[in-house]
Amino acid sequence: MTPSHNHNSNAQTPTGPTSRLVGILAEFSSPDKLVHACEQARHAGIRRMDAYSPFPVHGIDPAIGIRRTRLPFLVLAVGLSGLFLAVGLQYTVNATDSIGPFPGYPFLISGKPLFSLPANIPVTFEVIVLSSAFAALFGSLALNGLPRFANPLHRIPRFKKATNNGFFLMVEAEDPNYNPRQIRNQLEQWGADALEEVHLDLTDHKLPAFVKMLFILMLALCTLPPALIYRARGDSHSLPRLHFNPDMDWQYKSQAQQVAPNIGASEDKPEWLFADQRAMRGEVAGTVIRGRLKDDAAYFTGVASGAEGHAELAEIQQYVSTSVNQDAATAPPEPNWLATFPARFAVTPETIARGKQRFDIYCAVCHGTTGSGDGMVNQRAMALNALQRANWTSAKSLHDHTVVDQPVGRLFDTITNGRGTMGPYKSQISVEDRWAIVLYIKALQDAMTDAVAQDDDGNWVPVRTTAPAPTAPAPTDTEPSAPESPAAAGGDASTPTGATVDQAVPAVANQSSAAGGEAADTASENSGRTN
Amino acid sequence: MHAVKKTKVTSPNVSLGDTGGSLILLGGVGGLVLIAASFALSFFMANGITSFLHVYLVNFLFFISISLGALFIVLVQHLTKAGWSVAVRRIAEIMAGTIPYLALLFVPILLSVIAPSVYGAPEYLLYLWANTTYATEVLSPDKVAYYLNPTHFAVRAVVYFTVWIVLARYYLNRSRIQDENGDHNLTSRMQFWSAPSVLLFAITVIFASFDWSMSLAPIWFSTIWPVYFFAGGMLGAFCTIILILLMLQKRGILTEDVTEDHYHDLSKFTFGFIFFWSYIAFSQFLLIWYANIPEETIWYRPRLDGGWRWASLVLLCGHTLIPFLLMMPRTLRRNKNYLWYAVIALLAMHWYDHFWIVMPQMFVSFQDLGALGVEGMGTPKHIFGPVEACCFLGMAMLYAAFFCWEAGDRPLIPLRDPRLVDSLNHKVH
Repeated sequence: MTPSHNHNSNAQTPTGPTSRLVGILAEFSSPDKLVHACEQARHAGIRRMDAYSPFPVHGIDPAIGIRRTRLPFLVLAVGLSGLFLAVGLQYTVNATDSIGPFPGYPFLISGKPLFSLPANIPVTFEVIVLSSAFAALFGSLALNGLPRFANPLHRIPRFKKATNNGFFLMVEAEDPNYNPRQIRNQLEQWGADALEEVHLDLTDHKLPAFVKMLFILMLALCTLPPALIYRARGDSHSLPRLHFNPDMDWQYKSQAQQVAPNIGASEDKPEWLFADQRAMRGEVAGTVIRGRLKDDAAYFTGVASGAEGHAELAEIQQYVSTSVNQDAATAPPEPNWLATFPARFAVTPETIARGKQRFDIYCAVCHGTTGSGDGMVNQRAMALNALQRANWTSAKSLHDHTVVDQPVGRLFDTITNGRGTMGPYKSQISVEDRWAIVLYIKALQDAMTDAVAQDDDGNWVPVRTTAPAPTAPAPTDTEPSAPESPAAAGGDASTPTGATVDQAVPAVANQSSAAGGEAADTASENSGRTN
Repeated sequence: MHAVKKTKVTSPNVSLGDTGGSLILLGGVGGLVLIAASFALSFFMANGITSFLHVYLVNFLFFISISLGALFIVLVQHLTKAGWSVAVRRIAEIMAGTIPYLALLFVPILLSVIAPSVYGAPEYLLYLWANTTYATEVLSPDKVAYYLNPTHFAVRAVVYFTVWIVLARYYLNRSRIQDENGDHNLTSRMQFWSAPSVLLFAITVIFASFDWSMSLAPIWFSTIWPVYFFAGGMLGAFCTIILILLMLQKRGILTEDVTEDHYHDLSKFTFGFIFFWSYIAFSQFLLIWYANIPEETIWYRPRLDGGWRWASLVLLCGHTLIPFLLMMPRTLRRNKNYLWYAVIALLAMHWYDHFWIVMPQMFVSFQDLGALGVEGMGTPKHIFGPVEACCFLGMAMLYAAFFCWEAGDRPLIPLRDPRLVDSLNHKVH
């Protein structure tokens, strides 16, 4: 229905100072007559009119000459604004440090790009839908001139029939073709049963008291939130915060390291959900955590297949022997280390380059970029050692023949689980990268094979003199007293180490380099140089 | 109010007449020739029968999804006791009535699954799970034993087609009997059976979509897949109904009884299913993209990499963004000249949707089998174009022939449906 714009037209119809003529209301007995009258009125050039009926009358819109509404374009414009608002907001907030005075909050979520359209589409879609719906609702209200506090038609008793069985046509006095003298005859010709002039009462135009009160109340309430926020600024509270969603704050679930819930009847006689009283559960039998499937023992442990059990044992013993003093006699036998790279690892220039890059990140700080044990951390620590301000075990030179002679599987295990004071790197470096580092170490060692160094007498001798290529795996039971532990190393390790190196038995060389202690390291280093 | 109410069909022609017969001959012969040509071309321009079967599956899925959409439209009109749609319902009934003939077109697909195990045909024809090497080495034994195996696939296909054919024939035949005797009880009975029919339809379509298109990637799954398949089929069905009506009216059939108000409502549904399809397709993508679980993202990987990335963007723009804007205005929905272009473009996009689902999977399957050491696999040498064009045109001609055969010289409008008067006087205000 078209709105009636009945302001600013006092001059046109001088019906007295207390009221103003709005138009004339004609009643019809049937919807057909109403549609007919509308068409007649439109043909007579009347444009400002409106029809009222108890139900929607088909065909009344073209009969009255209602134009297509502009609302869709309004909705489209607001919807598009919503699009730009939503995308812009997400871009500003998520993907920028700041735009103008607005601080951004770039926050990486699940490795997604900071500005990522797929993730932004749901928010954008909702903003468009919400803003369009608001535009449609409030736009239609605004275009219809609503809300109005009063309509003069409601002062006419007859008009109540418009919700029951009356069909009305209201011709507005504002219409240029409205002729007060003719209009009555015209409407009667068009089939009106009754006519009534509609006046707007100009004397009573005050807002009703309850509306005023409501308005004032709302204004007062609006000041509450900012007032509360102002009061709470910089405030501190000793009381616990309010819990509006207890279900969310205290969820019925167990968290890591908690005791299993008591499902018994009372606190005194607890009956734990799990017999071991722990809430954390191990893996389900027969399952493997995603990414933890180690189906290739050689690749994941550096031990030749068939001897996986040894690797497991060696790994555990390694931790034990670094944490408590352990008898050399109970040290585990040396596993069957892999002598060549596993099939799953590709020995290519790319993997060497990758190994170099990883080596420079993880290893070079102590072992030095050339692997000579002269990394910056080591240099600094040695300087502090000299001042008696530190007790640092020197990082090993990777060109020491005890290292050069180690099979690749053993090197891999050292990186994986650590040796002596060197910590494990399995959590930092992926398996593939560990093999790449081993490959790079081998390349470094090969590059230094023909290097020479001065011995104690000042003669230049090749650095690597005795050990053959590390193809033969170490026989694990030839030297049971391998100095695995600091205790063994600290006491008499230097003697057997020196002796075995002299005999140039590679297996023993392998084992001696596994020494955990400072003394053993020093001893083997010394013996390596002096030979 | 003052307009005279139409009480019966007033079009001079309400049946195909003589045009149907010539179309059956032309479509049937031409269609078979073109499909044979596509088969032959596939040996020169692609990977022989494997490529051909993939292209064939694209077209089969395109037409079966449209006929299934039409069947659902018929069921829903009865379920909701719709009045407006009566004048156009017979078209949907006949489209659903083509399902028995489409079942014949399913035979090559069924053979591609059964043949390897029976005759020792080439290693890889259409479904990767039908390859014995793949089934034993990659799929879990349970999956092969209980779901993805040739016997169960065939049994399920028979069940699906039986259900659909029974439903389609029931509604088409009852409606035609009503043309003769005008019995209102027929309408009541069709309404009564529509609710269980919709349930049966839903269950069969869910598993058919799993079997026929999702199982192309045997280890991948998406629980929203049937809705995706259904949404595209509904869009295709509404577009096809509009297209058939436009063609009929151009030939002077149903000129008076199907008005632009019917087109307007059909276009509204088309618009709705454009967006419904987009909503489902995007929901599927977003969840998989966000969760980022390898076994789920693996399906999108080939479609978002390399050349297929642009193919996916074509789908986004052509199936969603552009039609969304161009099917929205009321004036365009009521404009028959415009609708010609719109529905053909939308049908092309619906075809392309199936193409985008099926074809990249062939390349993935080749790679998977090559990695498993199956001989002759690795990189396919498929050239896009002539094989696809011939196969589509051939099957489109066959579909037209099926439609004309099923329509015969019988009325294309339910002449004595109790709600026909509502539909003839339908107005969209």
